[in-house]
Amino acid sequence: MKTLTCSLLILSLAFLASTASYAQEETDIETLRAADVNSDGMINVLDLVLIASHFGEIVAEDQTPSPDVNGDGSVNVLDLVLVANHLGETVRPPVAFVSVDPEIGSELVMNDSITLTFDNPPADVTVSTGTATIDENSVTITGPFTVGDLELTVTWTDGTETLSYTVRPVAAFVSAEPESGVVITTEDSITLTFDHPPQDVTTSTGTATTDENSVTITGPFTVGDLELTITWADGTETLSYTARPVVAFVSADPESGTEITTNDAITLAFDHPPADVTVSNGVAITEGNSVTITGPFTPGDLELTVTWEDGAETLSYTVRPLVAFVSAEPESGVEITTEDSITLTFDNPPQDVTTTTGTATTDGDSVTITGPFTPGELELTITWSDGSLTFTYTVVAPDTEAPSITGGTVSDGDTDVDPSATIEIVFSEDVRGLVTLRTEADDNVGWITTFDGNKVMLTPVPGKELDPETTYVITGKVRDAANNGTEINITFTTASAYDGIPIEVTDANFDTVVLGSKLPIVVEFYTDW
Amino acid sequence: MVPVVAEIASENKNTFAVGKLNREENLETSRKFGIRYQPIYIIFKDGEEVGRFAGETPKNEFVQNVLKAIN
Repeated sequence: MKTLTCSLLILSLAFLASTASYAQEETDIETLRAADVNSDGMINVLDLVLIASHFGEIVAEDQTPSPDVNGDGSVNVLDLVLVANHLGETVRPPVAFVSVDPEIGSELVMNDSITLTFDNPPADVTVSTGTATIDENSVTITGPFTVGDLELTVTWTDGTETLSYTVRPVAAFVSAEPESGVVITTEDSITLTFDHPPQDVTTSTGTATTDENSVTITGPFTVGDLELTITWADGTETLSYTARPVVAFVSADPESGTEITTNDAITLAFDHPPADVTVSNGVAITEGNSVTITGPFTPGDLELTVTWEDGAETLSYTVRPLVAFVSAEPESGVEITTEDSITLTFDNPPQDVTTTTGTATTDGDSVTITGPFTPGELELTITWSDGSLTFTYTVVAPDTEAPSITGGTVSDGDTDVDPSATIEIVFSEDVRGLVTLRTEADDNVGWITTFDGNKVMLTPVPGKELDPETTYVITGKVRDAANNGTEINITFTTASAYDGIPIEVTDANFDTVVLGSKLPIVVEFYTDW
Repeated sequence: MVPVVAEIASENKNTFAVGKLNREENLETSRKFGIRYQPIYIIFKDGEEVGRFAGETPKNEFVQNVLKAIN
């Protein structure tokens, strides 16, 4: 009976509905969805049938589908009428928010877009910030957004969703140091500056380290052309460089800490050719991997700083004067004996002295070369730290024979020596020494003594003439080149002052002239007639 | 004084000297040495008479007489 009654009602309502005019727009969507009891999107007779099948029943609130269209707790004719009023209408399904990308709570940049996905195409979408574009089940919201916290409310026909984000600024590349296109070393680092802190930075080569607005790319890089692509969350920048090796100091010759001379050169070796070399002292010449620094340097402590494009090296030296030969005694080319020594004089103390013959002894600025030497021609090469010289000598047996008197104007025992004449003594060889003319009482007469080769001359001095018929002594000692000495002792008597003209003798002068004469005298006694 | 004596004096000046004394004008000395004849030649050495000879004497003999007396 219940079924028959409902069927009649349904038919009646269906008839009414077919003749009635309803506007869906005038009815809220919730009412329409309630009328679509079987939720098939259409309000039709099937919904009426479903109500009729539960007609008169009390339904639970959560029963689905619910034939209690008006929600009054029972299935009755009002429910049938409500459905009948909308028979033939289409009911949109409810649109639910599914997801959002990027997810809520994440960080955005000003120009990012936010895409919401719904289970059905949403309608009447509005957003609190930005612009919403609907495409099927998606709604894309584009900014630009204001930097800071973003509370974005999306509203559509069936609901509202509030999304929270943090909006950060877009990081734009500003500059690179060193700038793209230049030459860098394999060990250099490249610093990129952005207007805002970049995120998610990656580099095609090397290692990227981000610090605030800067990103530092460190190598080591491979020698050659370097194409460096930096990618960050907001962009990509490609920089081009030519990477060259880092020039490192290898060694110095002479090595630091040693002694050099004022004119020495210092050579530094590098592992690659250095560029832009400067030095604190001297002049630097670069050739290949080497730098040669020449002075002259000032004697004393030398702190030498060498700077090149990749570094600096400080070298310490003690600079000593260059030692130059001054003289040799005896000089080269002369005759020496087997026992002689040769003394070389330098302007400064020589170092590391060696000799090809004999023994070298250094004392201050002098070097003494001692033998014995072999008789014959001697070629003697002396080498010291700053030079080398060769001397030649003729070596003979040593002279052991003392010089002897071989002649002269006065001999020992002479009694008629001219008191006014220069006295000359001749020796067997060249001599030197001290010879004086003295009285018998050993008083120096004061004559001038000169040595000339193998001769000794005693020259009269005005006012110091010798007395006639007086005994004098030439005394002293002479030596030859080998230092062989000879004592000199020549005693002589000067001649009389008598001139060979007979002397006039008188009683008055007889005692003086005759008896006092040092010469024997013959007196002629005569008469003048 | 004969010229030869002057020659002897000149030629032997380094060995002995020659003097001449006028007997008439220097009687004291003449008497002292007992001069009676002339010419007389008296040879002195170191203040002492060491010889004498008289008369005209050849040059060589004169010198020999002197040298013999003084040596």
